[in-house]
Amino acid sequence: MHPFYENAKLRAEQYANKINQPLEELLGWDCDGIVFGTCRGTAVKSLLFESLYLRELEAYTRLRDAEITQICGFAVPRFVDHDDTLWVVEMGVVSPPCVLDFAQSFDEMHPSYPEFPDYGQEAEDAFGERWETVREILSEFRSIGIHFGDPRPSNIMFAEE
Amino acid sequence: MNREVGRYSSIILGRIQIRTLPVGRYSPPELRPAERISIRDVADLFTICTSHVERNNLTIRTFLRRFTRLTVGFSKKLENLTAAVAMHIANYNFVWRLREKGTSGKRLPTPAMQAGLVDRLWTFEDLFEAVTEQERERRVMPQCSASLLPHHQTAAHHQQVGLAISALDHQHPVQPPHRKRADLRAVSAQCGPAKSAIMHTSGHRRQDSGTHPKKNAGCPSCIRFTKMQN
Repeated sequence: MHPFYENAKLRAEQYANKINQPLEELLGWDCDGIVFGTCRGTAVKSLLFESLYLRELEAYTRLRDAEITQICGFAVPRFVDHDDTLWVVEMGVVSPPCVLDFAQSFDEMHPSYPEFPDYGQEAEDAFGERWETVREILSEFRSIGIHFGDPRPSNIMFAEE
Repeated sequence: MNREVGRYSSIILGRIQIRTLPVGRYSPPELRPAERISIRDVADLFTICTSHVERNNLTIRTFLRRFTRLTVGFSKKLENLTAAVAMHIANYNFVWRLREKGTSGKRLPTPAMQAGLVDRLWTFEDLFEAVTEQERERRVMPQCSASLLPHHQTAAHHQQVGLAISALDHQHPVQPPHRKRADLRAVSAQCGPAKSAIMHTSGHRRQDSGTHPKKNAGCPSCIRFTKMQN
């Protein structure tokens, strides 16, 4: 793993110590943060920046308050816990079809919340003929005030055919 | 935060060219023992080497046309070179995603993210927007005091003259390489009259006094224009 993620890993470990649940395997890492599995079947995501943490937390809080567990048949991780000082969010583990990663999302109260969603041609090309389904999912998120900021096949995962 | 940004060291290589063997133009000279100095935060002196800076040189020479050797892709003006280098460095730091070492091929966050300057990936459009926004803000003051400038330094003068030199020198170096076709069309439409002005002045085809305001003795463009007319 790149040394850039050492700090995030350290915070994830501190969080794991706090909840007395040792971290298990590394589930993934990207430009938002690093994700580990825990012994109690949850995922701990340690964010790289506070702004990303706040966005992720806001999105999960909204989903929890609206009691949303899936959107258009795509599972959404269950919000478990968080830590404001460690920039860590704990969530349930889901399997495809599912939607992940809300660190790049904006809520409607954010000053950068776009008036019209424009995800660009690149996002459209990445999904190909599945783009219409993705658009429905994105519209659903928007209806609850979340602008999903990073639609990629690794974040909106379809079931294997 | 444990970040690698800011580590700084120096290595002094002792090279000596021995010509007892037939050597080509690019043959490496014999390498004598090197002196390694940690200037800031380099614990292991044996990690100090020229590989990193040579990698940087290679990237610049490969992706910045103006530094490609043995070609005609050089800058005629220092300001054009400055603009090209600035654009490349900004693109490298804010947009370019390096890959992780090894065979995973996974892309890392940009250097700007690793330095904590930004919290997300930038696209070239973001970079272009940020630069143009800054430039717009920078130009607010000169525009307010434009009346204090000599005639040949005002933007209005250059617009009236329709000088292609100004348009081409200042607009083309900052053209992003991957701009959308629509943007390029808009720019080319903007440059259209200017290009035709160049053709007009250099080609001696016709004299259109309507495109040029009253002559200004201090303006090199006006001087050139006058010479062409004469």
